[in-house]
Amino acid sequence: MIEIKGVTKEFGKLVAVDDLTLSVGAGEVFGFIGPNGAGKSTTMKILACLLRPDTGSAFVDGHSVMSEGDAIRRILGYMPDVLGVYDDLTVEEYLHFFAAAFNLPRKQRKATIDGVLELTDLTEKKRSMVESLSRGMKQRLGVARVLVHDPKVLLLDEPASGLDPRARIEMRELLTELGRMGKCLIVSSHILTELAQMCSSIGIIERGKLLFAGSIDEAYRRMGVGDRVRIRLESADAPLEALSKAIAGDERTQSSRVADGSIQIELVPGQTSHHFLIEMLIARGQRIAAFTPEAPRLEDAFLTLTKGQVQ
Amino acid sequence: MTRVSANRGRMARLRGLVFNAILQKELRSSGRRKSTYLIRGGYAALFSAVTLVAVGTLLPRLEFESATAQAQMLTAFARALVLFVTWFQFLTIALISPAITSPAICEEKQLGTLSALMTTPLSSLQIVLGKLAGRLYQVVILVLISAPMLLAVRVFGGVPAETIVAFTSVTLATALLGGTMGILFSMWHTRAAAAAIFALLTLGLLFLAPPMIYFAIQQTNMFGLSGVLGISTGNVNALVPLGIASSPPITLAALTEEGPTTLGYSWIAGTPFDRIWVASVVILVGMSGVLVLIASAVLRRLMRSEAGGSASLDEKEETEKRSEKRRRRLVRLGARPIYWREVSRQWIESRFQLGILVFVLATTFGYAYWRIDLSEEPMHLIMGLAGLGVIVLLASVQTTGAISGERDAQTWDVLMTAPVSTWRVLMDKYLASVVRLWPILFFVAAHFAFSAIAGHLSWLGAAMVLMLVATPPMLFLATGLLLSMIFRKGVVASIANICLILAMWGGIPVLIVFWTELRGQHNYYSSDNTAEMVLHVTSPLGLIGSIITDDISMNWRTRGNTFNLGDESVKRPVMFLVVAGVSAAHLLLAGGVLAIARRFFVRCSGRTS
Repeated sequence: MIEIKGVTKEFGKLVAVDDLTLSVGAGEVFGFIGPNGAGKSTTMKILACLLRPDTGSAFVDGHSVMSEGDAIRRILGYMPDVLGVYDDLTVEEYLHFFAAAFNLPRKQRKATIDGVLELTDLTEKKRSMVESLSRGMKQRLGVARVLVHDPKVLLLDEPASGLDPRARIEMRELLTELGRMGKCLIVSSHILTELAQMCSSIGIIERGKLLFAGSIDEAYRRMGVGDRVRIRLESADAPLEALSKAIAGDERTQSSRVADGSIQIELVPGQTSHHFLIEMLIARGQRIAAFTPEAPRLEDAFLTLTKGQVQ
Repeated sequence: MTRVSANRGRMARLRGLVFNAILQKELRSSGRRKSTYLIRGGYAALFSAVTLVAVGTLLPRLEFESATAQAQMLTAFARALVLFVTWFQFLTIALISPAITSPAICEEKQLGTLSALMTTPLSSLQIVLGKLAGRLYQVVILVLISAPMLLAVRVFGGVPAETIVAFTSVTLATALLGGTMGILFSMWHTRAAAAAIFALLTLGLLFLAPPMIYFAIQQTNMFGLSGVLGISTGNVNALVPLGIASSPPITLAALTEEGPTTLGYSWIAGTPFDRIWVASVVILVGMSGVLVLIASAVLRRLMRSEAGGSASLDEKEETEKRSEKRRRRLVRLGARPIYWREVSRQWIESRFQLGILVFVLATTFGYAYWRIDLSEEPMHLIMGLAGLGVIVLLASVQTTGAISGERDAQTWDVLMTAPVSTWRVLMDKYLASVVRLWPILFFVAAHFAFSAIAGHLSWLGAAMVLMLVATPPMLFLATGLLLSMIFRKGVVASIANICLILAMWGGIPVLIVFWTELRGQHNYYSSDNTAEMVLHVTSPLGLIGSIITDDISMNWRTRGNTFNLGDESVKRPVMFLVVAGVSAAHLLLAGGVLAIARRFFVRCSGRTS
């Protein structure tokens, strides 16, 4: 659905996007991760036909961003990071405005708008002035706006920024639902746990360079980030250090250490079964008080890959 | 010792009223804008060009004159040049200053930075004064740009230094009043263009007020009400100098005609205040002071309401009340959303303001229609010339925020991802602006139609005036749209558009006159047919004046068949052709500018295809 080949974009001496190649398929929810100023928004603007790349090419559903802007605009919904809205309109008028701008037939508009308002939980705010909405509601209005013309591709730049925890969860559910509907989503966010929960693939970008693109599992494998297990034993006199050393010697574990009265183990990437740890401890006559597996964190992969440099 | 330190503290507080963080921020941000230097450079270049052309035209002719004649010619030249520059400067500054200050608070509201200002220890008065000083600083620089040239011209004699000082002081005081007005209106509006228009109109009304009041008092005397009101003719005449002083254009006109004259009041005789221009400066500064205090009070209220949240209870109730109206409005949204949005935006944001406007207009025009004889020129000239002036003024600032406003509100990127074509965006914004001008055009048209029906004007004359009133705004709406793409700030685009109008209606004719002189075809000081005809053709104001005057005083009453075009007498069909040509030229130019804007749009929109 989205193909970017060797795209470079420079602003004076600053290389915002450096030879970026990326492919995102239909029905994929792609999380775009990177520090501020990494080039995420620039890439999205190029895909939204708002910025001309200096070199390379980009295609959305087979249409070139360089020459087929009109065709792309009909199938693409773009929500920028800074959401400007027409404050002097009501929520309903705002959506009608864009429905008309996207050439939605007049008869369909009301039903479509009611539908997206329902989906984004804004029905009650239909007649409120846009300026009176809270930030979270404005974000949802932004999502409602990009859905009005039922686009195949959605580019959402920081859609969850500034949202309260409940609104974030609702936004996550909404985006997951959109992914299930078969739309191709590119979502950038700084809240990596949420991206990990809703994205089928991710791309990590820093200083304009794409450092990684692929599935989340592949990211963990590539970055050497495995599952973690925290084990607490019943006996206070248990030889924690010796046990930790024994566990660390197993080829399925990456590391093991004692901290806060428990053994903290990191498994090798891809190792998802944990029963061998229980067997090892029982074989050594230990009784387990708590066994807490923890999934790998996207933050770890992100920190491993990026250096935190900004341009 | 304590008194000294107390005085110092008081001085520091006074300094802090103006020289505060707001002023620093305004100066820094304007100093970083390229447009600031473009405007200054353009202004300096314009004056230099006029001076150089003028000097260039004069010098070759001096060779053939005697020494006395040379001295006389140089004196006359210096006077003409100084008067042109000072008047041009006054008009430019009077128009620019409200346009510069009107975005001051609108921008803060739009960017949501007003609440951040509230958390600082700055008082509302400090904010108003800081903003005013920061923005008027640009105007002062513009006025000072022409100062060396004006003083250099004095070498030729003919212009007393006091006249230059008087012109400059009155211009600066007018800028202060206009700037304050702009700030005040920016508190009541969310759009800078609307604030600028209302500030300019109010400024215009203030300038017109003294002669209107004088006229009204005279009328009262005629009805024998003087005894009742205790106003005698002597009292009225004694007020005339004060009336002149309270209207800057009349003050400058008096300076042009008679030089620096005195007020003639015994209680200030011999003091520096016994000068009409000094009194004018004092009055204007005083009025500005009052407006600053009002503005700071309004800002305090505005900040308090901002602190109450973006959706206060009153607003919510208001929204509910308006919902039915909005539902009806929504029905009109067809396939042209941009046009719909532009047309449905409100210029007057409160019923109170609308009420004041309706009252002022109804009173002014009601009185004028009641008192002024429609078989004479004045009312028709007012409607034709002031109508054109107001429409052009509105047109000059109406489209200048069309694109930059979207950028400021950060709605541009979103709009550009919708499949609306370049031409549709431009034309919808343009047509919506034309529609917005329609009520005033209709009002002017109604006047001339009524006058033609009543037999005061010929139908042809009325039609020609309407053509001349209706077409120039089309051009300046188009140039405003183009400038809105060129400049990132709407206010800069407005200033550039106003300068363009002044250059077209004032600068080009003057340059043509100088050019004709340079070619040695005519004598500058004698009446010049070609130049006058060119003046008439390039400036619709002259043409409207000629049509109305000739139609009423000569042709229409005597059923004559000619109009005056310069010194030539032309037949009606010829005059109609000239008017049609001028109107067509404006429309063609508007089309050309829109075509350029379309090409430019692709570059500025950011769209790749």
